[in-house]
Amino acid sequence: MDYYVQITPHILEGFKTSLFVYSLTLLSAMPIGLLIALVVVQVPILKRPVSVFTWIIRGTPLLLQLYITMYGIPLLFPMRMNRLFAGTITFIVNYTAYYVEIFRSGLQIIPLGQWQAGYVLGFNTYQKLRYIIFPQVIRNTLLPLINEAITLVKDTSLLAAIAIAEMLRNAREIVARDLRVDALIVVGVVYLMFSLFVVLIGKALEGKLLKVRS
Amino acid sequence: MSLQVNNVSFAYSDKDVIRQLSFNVTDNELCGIVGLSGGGKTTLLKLLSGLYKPKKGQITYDGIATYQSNKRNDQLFKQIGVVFQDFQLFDHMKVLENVALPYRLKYKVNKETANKQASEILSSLGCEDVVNQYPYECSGGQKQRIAIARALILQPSILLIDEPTSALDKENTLILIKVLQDLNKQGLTIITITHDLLFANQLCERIIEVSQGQIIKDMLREDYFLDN
Repeated sequence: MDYYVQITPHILEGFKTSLFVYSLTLLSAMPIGLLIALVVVQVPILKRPVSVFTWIIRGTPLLLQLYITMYGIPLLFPMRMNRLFAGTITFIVNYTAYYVEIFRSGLQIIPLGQWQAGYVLGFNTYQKLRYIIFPQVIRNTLLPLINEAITLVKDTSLLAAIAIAEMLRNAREIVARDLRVDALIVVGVVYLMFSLFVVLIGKALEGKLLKVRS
Repeated sequence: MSLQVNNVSFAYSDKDVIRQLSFNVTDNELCGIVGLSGGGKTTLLKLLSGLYKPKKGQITYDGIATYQSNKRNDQLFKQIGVVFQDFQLFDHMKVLENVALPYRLKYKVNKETANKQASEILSSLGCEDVVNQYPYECSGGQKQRIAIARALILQPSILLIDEPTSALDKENTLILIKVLQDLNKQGLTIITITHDLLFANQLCERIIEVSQGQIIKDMLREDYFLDN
């Protein structure tokens, strides 16, 4: 037990980094994804370039993207790349691609008549989005959004690959130092608790938002 | 409010849907536009409601054009109420909010004032029992009247209704006819688009028949049904 008490603070120190990247990714990628999806739906000419972007990002591993940002870009443009910055930006870009597709599908299933109803009722663009479109998009996409949020919890472990001192990397250091696997068990439990927390938030949102048929 | 349609044409891509259509509707008239499906009736409603811009010709209300140099005249459309064939109520809002929200946004009043106004108008249309329900919990007839309430709360001078009986049974159709006749007696100009000749016969004073985007008959009701 003493051993667990001894190793846990170092692991939780890494959890702070994981949580930082997680929060920043969700808070940035979600609104950016929604904005891009909205622009694409309104401006069809942008559909192709955005499709190419999401195809490349979703079609290549996140780990590869982390390597390219961390090690590839400084080779092309000589610069000193901050690891945490590189990791966070890569996560935001990667998840933005997924959110664009989720929101785009959520927007496309809203009948044209709903937009037209807002139009004939004299709503301006902001009012149409605020009162008619966004509430329906959120309902239409809530389940995939929650899934992505759970996947992101686990994906943060990939930050270890570019030597960011997140939770898994700190645990691996402890395992290498002490030749005991206990640290990995602690990490597993923390990931599970974190996922459970996200799942519970998701369930609460589902209960609140999906009780109304969209 | 009067309507003037002058030589209006409209096409989807290369397919002409409305061809050089002209007619006038005078203030406080109750006019039915009838015709078979695919004849251009719904497209005509979308032109009249400003959702589409005429490719040629001009639509004016009280002499004011719906589009001026490619720009929709939003001020003008504040006086025009539209009820869609499939109602297009907002299923994520309760019935009361569906009706109150447009009023709240247009007149910039608080929620209580808007809700009071919406309650009154819903009650006048016999929908007082469903104010706290969601639209998907209502019957076709109730949805129709909620959609009319949502249009009327903005105090339009003209009401455009697309296929109002498509989701209604006989009993609800009779209720709707009474509602529309009452509104017309209060001074509202009403243009209804329908393929239901029985409904048109019971409601409208004048019938315009459209086929393949052109007017083939424009008569008073009695003359139209004698002619048929």
